[in-house]
Amino acid sequence: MISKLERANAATPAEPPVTQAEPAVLASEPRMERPSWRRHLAFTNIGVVYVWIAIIVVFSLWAPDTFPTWATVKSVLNQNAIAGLIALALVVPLSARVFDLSVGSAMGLCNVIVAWLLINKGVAVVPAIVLTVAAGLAIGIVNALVVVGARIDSFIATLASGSLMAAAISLISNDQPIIGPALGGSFGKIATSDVAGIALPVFLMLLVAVVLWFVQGYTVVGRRIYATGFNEGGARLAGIRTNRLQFASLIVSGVVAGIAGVLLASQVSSGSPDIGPPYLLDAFAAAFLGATQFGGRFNAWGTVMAVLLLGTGKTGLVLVGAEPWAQSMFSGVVLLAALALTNLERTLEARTWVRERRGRRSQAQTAQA
Amino acid sequence: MLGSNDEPRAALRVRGLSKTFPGVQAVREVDLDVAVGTVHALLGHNGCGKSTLIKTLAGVHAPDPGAQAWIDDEVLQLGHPEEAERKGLRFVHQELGIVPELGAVDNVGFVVGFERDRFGRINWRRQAEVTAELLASFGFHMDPRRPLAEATPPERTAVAIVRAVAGWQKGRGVVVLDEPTASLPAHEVDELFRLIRNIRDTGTAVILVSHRLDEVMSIADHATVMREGRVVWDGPTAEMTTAAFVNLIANTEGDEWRDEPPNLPQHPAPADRNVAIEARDVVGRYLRGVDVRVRAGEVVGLAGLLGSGREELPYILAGAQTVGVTGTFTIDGETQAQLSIDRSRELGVALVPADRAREGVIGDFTTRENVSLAGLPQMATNGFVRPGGERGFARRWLDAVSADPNAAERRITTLSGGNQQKAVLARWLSVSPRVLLLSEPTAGVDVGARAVIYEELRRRADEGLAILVASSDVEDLLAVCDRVVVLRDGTVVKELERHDMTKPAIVGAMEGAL
Repeated sequence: MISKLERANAATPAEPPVTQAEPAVLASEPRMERPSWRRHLAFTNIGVVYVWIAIIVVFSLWAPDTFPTWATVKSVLNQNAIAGLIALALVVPLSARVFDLSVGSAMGLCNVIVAWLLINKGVAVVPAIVLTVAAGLAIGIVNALVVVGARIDSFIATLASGSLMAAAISLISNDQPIIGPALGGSFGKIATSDVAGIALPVFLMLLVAVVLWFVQGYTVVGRRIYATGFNEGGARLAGIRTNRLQFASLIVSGVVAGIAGVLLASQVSSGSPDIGPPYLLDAFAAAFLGATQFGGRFNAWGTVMAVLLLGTGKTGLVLVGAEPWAQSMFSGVVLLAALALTNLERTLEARTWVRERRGRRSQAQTAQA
Repeated sequence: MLGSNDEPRAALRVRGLSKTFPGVQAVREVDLDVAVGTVHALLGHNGCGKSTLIKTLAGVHAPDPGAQAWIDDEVLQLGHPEEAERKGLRFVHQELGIVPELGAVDNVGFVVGFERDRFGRINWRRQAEVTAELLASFGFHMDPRRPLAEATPPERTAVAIVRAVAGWQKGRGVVVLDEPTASLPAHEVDELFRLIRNIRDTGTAVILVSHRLDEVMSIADHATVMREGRVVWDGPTAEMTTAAFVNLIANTEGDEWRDEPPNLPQHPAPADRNVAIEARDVVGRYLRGVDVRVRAGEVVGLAGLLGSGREELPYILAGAQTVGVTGTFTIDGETQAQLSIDRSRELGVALVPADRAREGVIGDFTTRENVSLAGLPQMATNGFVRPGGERGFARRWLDAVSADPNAAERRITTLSGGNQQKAVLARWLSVSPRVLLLSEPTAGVDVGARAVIYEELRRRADEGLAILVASSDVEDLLAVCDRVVVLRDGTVVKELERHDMTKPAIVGAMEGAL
């Protein structure tokens, strides 16, 4: 793709010629005058971090014996790694403005498939994992064919394919958890082997986050995916193959969902028919909350932060012995509060700017007088 | 009001209005007096603050504290859209806000209200009569039930304006028209001007936001010129010339601009230069068998009314419109019957689209990202983009098209229309295309930026680029083209070389007055 473009254009980026043009008659647009560290630490940029710190402080005061411990840290990380993976899987299609509402069901299906292969079919560990990830890939391709190939709106198309996956889950598992010794042993070690108590899925989540951060921030493909998501028509006219990118983004989410399904089976030692779908809402919440951070795009680190923020709160609530409904309420309140505060901060920022302007002007006037 | 009888009564008075956004004070301490029964032009290039001023008056934005406004000597609370509407300040935006699938009956009814019988049912017959009468009272005779999509552009604009001033026949209130003529071809503007004069004569004040100075000179009684958020001139248009306005708006010395756009130095492309792009027998939605060829180093203009195929041809050549399109296309010596966006790009064709906001820029991207979008693959090594390299690239290219390189890290939508267009132009120039297609390159672009764009195009052509400019603004074509192809009803009706390119000749051919 690139080589063809290069044929059309100069092999190296064209350099603008030295202009003889007179300076722009347009007045230069006024610039934002703020030191960069203040911008980076601004609430609009990393509000989730501040909320996270606040939550840690509150629970540390509330449950000083149980909450501020290494055990809590491990538990938050280990219990949210798979949720983090699913949320990161969503970030890719969302960046290209494709909704993958089937991602929870896809993980659930892969969870059941791997357990079924290991126990009912007696497949060895490695082939079972490979086949399951391939199933995730196939799910991604089916979604992509429906959404990109048949041009059916992704929101409704993946809702429908998620329903088909739910049917497949029932078919394979007979709505009973698939359990057996083959899920323990070497397969069970996958999600439970750890370094200093931090389990493998956590490292995998961080690895995916690093890759995603790099691709979205520093590669041509990443930039083009954002362009596709922000303005598909404009990106197409700019020569970007938006269809391909949207197709690929759904394949990525399918494959990551497959991997997450395997990890889940290893972690809970079962293939459970109803374990996948609940992950969907939290993953969306994290991806959208993450998108308000670090510059207002769907991104890896914002999403990881958001997952950990929600996970910390839930663990804290368990430790202080809160009622079960408190967890769902917590997620909802945090999401709404974070989004509202982000807006509020923008308004305040504008006001501060006005005040600074006024201050400077009146200073100038005093100096003149 | 004693002693003020010699002064015309103010329909709208504004004192000390400022509006600050994060990072930009868009409007600074503006005072404005609009007299009853006048057409008051609001001038200035994009980014001068006039749109913000209008939006603040409309209540879309809340002004900074300290601003005051009165309508017909009644205090107007700024920042409340319903308040503006109730006190008699109404707006017709460029997009008109009409539903094209529905007729004038519905479109007027949505705003003015519907005639109902005592059971609450809409009396459509009565409603149609009322609508037709209302339009007729302003000189427009049209079937109120026919969908507006089938009406002429001035008729659509008229419906939007008439419904805004409905009920003001006794002459009150202020109606703001935001570039009402921007999408109209020249000969249709007159119809609209008659309407505006009718409204003015009832005593309603009309605020006209426009980029077309010739129009302002012909219709406005009074003008206010803004620059960098401030009012820099305010007075009767009779005291001014077009050239003087240009100087005020662009803040340039008078020697650059005359009443006519500048005829840049001619470098006619020699007839033996390679044909960069040739299209034969192109048939599309509007086009019915058109031949066009552009040589390297040549700027060819494409003139024509809306629906003549003028707006369609650049998209066909860029491969962006393929459904129902036939023809033979020879680009750089390679002939094919079917183009696609990817094929055209491979062959070195670049398109600056007509609708900047929807197709030209990626609104959520920074200016840097917009500029580098097309050139990224060549800039990258193994798909990896070095941030420093990209920043430098964007700054150099912004500089090359006389845009402010310091705007590189700002979201592109915070830039004026002119600077956005320069960024899009820079994006395509940076990949060294063979053929550059532009549709409406100066729509919503201020005078200063226009001059820069014209000059830039001329310079690239001299370096060997083949350029096709499709524009509804004949001034564009006169300013920059070597040759103008005039389309009417999907066919080429005339080709004008440099020496017979005049505004009357082009407009005459467009309208069929041959």
